[in-house]
Amino acid sequence: MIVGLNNPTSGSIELFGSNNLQEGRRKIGTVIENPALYPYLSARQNIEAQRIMKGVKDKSITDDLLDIVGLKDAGNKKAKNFSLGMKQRLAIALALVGDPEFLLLDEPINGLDPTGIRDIRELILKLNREAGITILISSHILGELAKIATSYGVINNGVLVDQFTAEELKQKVKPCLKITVNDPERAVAILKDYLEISDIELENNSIKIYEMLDKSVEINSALESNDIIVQFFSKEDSDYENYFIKLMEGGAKNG
Amino acid sequence: MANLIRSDFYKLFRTKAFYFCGIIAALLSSLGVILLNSAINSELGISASLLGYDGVYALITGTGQATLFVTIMISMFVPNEFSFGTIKNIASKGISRWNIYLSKVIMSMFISVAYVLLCAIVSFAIGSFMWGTGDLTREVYLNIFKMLGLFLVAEVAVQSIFVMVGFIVRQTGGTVAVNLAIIIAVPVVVIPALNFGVQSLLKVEDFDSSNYWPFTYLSRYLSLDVIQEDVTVGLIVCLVFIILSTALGIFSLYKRDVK
Repeated sequence: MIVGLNNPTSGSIELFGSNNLQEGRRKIGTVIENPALYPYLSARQNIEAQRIMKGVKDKSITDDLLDIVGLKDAGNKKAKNFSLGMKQRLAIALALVGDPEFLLLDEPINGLDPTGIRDIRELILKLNREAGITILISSHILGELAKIATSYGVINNGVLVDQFTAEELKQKVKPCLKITVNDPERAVAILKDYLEISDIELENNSIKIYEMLDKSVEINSALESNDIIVQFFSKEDSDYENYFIKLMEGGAKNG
Repeated sequence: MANLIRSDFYKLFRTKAFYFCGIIAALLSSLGVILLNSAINSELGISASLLGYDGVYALITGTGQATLFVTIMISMFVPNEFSFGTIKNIASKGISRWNIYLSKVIMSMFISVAYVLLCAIVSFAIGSFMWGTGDLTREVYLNIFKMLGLFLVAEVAVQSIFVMVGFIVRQTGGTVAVNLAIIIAVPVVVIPALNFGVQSLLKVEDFDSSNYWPFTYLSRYLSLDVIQEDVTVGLIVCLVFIILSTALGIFSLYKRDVK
């Protein structure tokens, strides 16, 4: 809907603070799902066709873009002979024609091998840092997103479930000790007083401790010596997937 | 819009099928003339030129070969944007769907003109080489231009239907199949059924639905002496089909999501 491929059923869209969507869409580069290329054209010709369509006069951008996406040596090779990673990079080059201010990448690493994923990740970071382009990535591969994203929006069934920064996400999914006890409020007070633990929270009768992760014996004995019965004790690693699944379930319930 | 058309031309001129279909169309139109000459020579033992055959006659018979190859080319070129997914690259760039569609209509017109002129020129050249050019008076030239102009209008009307099918079906194989089905089924099934229905139910005995089908005029216009009624009715029919199929195609493109 942002780029006009789907018709909205209701509501309105603003791009770059304006209702002029035609104009706004000219400032957006897109790679949506599979890389959309003309297989019978070479990489250079694919970019040329896009350059002409966008009315960009400067012919030198074709070679510049091939260089940026690392396809300079494959410029004359037909797109049909490209690997998926190369196709994805060429698709990003097409999206960059016309100096977009905003890049929208839908599942840019789907189906790529580890090298391809790394190449695309580095390219995305380079475009953001060197060209100053804001990039919106839609992806289900959360571990990869965690390596590049600075802000997150979680959409479930078309509803924005949550929005947070990378720092907030790290806080939410950082490793912790999860403890279930018979008197959680008193247990939290004891841990703060006796062991001086400050990064601690109480969530649904479970205590989550984000520091002293290697001091489980001390924590356990501090609780037991104060007559707190420990019912469950485990160490939980960073688990983006689990966090997002919980978020989705919450969103689904709310929705 | 101009940039989009330029980009479409850029892609077309780099499509091997464009040249391949053109060469085959030219070869077939030449072959038709050569075979006719051979048949007359072997059957009657005389030169075809003695029977009045000349370059202009060859031009008339050879031009008709273009339609099939224009159809094949358009059946590939239009839905390929959907098959390759490249329509997303165009539609997402703030280009209106109206312009996207019209650009393809203009491409279909260009392909029609290119192939029709190619077949006409090649068959005229071959015919002239074998039988002589014939009497090329000013009137003959005018009639040839008139014939080619009318034929091109009919060709564009026919191809506008195929462009619409391409935008509705959105798959290369499916578009070729549907377009071939239209070429084959309409004259064999639809037109006789309509004629029967109107003649028997509405009691209009001289009704001929083929008069309202642009394909009919592809053959009727391939003549140097087309009757005025055919010119008038045919041009109206072709114009109506061009407008209707373009409107339907644009409506379909607007109403459905681009995937």
